[in-house]
Amino acid sequence: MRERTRSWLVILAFALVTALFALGLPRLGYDNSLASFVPPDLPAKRLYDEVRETFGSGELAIAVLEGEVWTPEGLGALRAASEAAAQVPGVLRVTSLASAKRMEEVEGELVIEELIPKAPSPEAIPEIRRYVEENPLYAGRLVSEDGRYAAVILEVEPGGDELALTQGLEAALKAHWPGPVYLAGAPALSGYILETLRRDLPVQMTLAALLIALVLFLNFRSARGVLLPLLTVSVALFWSLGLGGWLGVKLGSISSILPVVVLAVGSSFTLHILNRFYHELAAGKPRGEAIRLAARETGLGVVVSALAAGSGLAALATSSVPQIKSFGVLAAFGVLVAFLTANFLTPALLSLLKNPRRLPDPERPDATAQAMGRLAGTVARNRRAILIAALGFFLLMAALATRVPVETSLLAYFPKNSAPRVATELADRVFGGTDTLEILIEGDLKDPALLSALLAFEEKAGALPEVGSAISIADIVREIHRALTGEDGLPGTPEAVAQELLLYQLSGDPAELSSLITEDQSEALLVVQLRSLPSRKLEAVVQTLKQEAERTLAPHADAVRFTGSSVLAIEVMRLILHDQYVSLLLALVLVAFFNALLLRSLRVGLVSVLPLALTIAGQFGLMGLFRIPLDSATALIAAIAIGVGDYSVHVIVRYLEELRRGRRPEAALKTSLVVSGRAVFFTALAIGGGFSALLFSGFVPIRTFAVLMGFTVGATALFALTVLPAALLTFVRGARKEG
Amino acid sequence: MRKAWLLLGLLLFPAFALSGDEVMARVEARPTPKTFHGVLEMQLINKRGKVTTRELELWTKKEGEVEKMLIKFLAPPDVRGTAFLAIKKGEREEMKLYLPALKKVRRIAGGQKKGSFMGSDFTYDDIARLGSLKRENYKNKLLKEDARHYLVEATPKPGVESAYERLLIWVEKPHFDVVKIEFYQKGALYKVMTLAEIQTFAEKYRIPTKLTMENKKTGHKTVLLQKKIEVDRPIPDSVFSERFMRR
Repeated sequence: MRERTRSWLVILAFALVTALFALGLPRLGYDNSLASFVPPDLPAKRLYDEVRETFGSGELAIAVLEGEVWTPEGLGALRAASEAAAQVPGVLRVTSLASAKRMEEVEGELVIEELIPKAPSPEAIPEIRRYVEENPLYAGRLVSEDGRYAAVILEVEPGGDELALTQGLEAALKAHWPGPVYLAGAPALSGYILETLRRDLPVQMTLAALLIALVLFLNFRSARGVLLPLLTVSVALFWSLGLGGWLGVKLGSISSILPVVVLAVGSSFTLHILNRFYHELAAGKPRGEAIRLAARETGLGVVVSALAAGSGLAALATSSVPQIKSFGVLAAFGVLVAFLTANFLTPALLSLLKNPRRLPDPERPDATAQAMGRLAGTVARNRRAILIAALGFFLLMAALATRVPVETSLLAYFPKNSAPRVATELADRVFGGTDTLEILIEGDLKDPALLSALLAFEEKAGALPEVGSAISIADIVREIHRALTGEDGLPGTPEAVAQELLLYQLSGDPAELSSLITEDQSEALLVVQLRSLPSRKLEAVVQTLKQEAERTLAPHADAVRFTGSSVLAIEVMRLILHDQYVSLLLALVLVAFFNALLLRSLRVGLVSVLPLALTIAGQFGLMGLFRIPLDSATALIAAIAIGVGDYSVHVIVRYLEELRRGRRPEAALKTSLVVSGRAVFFTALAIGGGFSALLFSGFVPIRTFAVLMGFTVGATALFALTVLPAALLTFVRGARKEG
Repeated sequence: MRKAWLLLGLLLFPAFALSGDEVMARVEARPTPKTFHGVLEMQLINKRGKVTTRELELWTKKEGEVEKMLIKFLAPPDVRGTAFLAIKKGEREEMKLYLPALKKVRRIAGGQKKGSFMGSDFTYDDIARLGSLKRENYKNKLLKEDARHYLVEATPKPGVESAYERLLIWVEKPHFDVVKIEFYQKGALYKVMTLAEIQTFAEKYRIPTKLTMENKKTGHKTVLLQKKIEVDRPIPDSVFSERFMRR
């Protein structure tokens, strides 16, 4: 009776804590903005924020409107669409032909006015078009040469709800523009990512649960065998996501795999416990005794693999990429909770439930078990060959791993022909791109020498095929000077520059200048528009531009500094690479440490990480072989491999147990493989099944991740059943005394 | 029971209280100088608190329906001598600009009522509003009255073109000085103007010597300090000329 009370108390406690965490769920938000990828204290990010504040600029999105622009109707619709876009919450500034200024001398009068009148007559249009085509500030930036596309450049507040923004912008633009509307740029891509995320997440969770349920059913052939692991893992999911809510974590494209990771990894723990429980029941043990054995004996293996999984994932918490960091924390927490539910909640539930009527032994000598027995014999005979082959595999894969490309472009998230990809390619082709390099120049911006250096740099930059446009205050000064004097060029003295700028301010909206120069004329921003490029190519282009700026601008300025979406993307790429090494090493060391500690032998600990080391080498080797890029999603596979792949511990635990009973290593191995081999096989199936739900993700990197996880799960199981036994027979032949 | 009715009556028709329109009429009834001469110190303060200062000398004159304004920049040094002349006759407005570096006077096209005044957060309209709030163009509603202030809500009447959809105007008793205006656009607070350090000139003109306009959207702010104010001193027409601009 006391047993029953205790069980009820355990269940009640879990229910209460689960409810507490569940209350945090509604606080869980979504965010895939730049801030979720870039650490806030990164110098380039701080400069980026400083630039936003100083120049009042936002993150850049571009809407491409397709249709005839140069008609009264087209221009009218463009104006209406631009005005509507400006009303969307989160939009800071809208630039389009509708906001363009005309600065010209007309009958002895300097005219600075809106380029496009409220209701342009058909006769006036050719004249307007001519002005635009001769003006470097507008031609090819706001309207395409053939007049078939107009650009609406949108600067949006960073850190807002990008999904609502994207939807708001689309609705506003489409309400006024009769033709197709394409949205590109980082905020728009993030908006699309969030939209996909919200659609994918429930589908993936359901699918993963169904696939795991199927494997569980194949293993246990009972409703209870399916429902208990799913229940315990759901509890873990509630805790993990709930904690995220309480901590204010926002899910992004990477962290969206969190539920699947917790489901897949967590369900394996209960699977092991249940396996032992049914095995003992089938062997005729009373229920209490079966529960005790399952929780205590098999529990050890579960503890070890949970700690390994937890530490592999927790190693990601050292990442400097915010989204990866929060994923690491929550996934590690979820896995540890899954261990708690497997070891405490499952026994409590089992003690309250009646024994099932049918008692098939999950460790019965069926076909799988027989195959494992034969495998043990083969391994024992060929252990040297297996170890040499493993070494060869490791070296080959490690060599291939050096060929892995790195990719952080947000665009790479989308399949070809998806709306965001089409929009970005169009913006690249027609308007010179959506990525930016921002160059912050400090110095006397009234100095004509500095201004002409800006123009010289822009010309050099513009000649690169990857560069769409480059503009700065120098272009505006040149335009004013032309309108004022009819001369091509810049004013000759600092006073003339200051006065011409003042003239522009007095005649128009001073905010137009403030996006390019500060009021005291001591800082200016030169914006280079770049076409979307693969990360490595982008790095090279930015490097070229930086060198050119050092050469051209630096001699005339006090300081020249670089930021912008391109620089941040490159920084994130470097961080991902760097973090990769750190977290990988840390994770392997942690796993070896825990295994050595719990199995009380350093040698056993080292042998235990062999399958993992081989699997990880294999992952990167495959990526190198097929040129699969290391991106924000695939960067996680090594850590997750450690999380899912620590089956070896179950083989080792049983092997050591048999050795202690005084059996010879070969016989001990045979028993170990026959008994835990089956569990390893089904665990691999369950985890692999869970992860395959990610094959249906709307994001390319997540799909790639799912494919790689398929390899990972299979490879770890294979290595745990071949290389590990061979290594055990070679290096761990004696039983250690308990103590 | 009768008391209750009386109370209700008082609430609905407060005795002796002014209506919004009457408050604004009293504001408009304050006299304005015929000529004005002074120095404006303009502090442009960006979101990060960085201050850029400009100094300009201002002359204005009103004769019937002709309004004349001349502005000369005194500082910073590189724009010193830049001059701006505006002559308004009814609806016609002529504007000229002199840039000393180019030694040229240029006529510039008008049509910038909503444009910024000398690159500040004030628009020409806002500056004009200091002289007259154009009561007839607005529906003025008294929202609140306490011991020191009236609070009037002004909304443009149908057909009146206005950059703002709603103004909240704080009028200080007893001089009917406007001390604060909130400008609303697209349903949100857009700009806030405060008029402080109001002094009496020539024993009748109430002139704020410190004006602040804060743009709530951009976080940018302008402070205008009016110094060396002279009112009603005759200003010869020769001041509002190209020749004077070049001087």
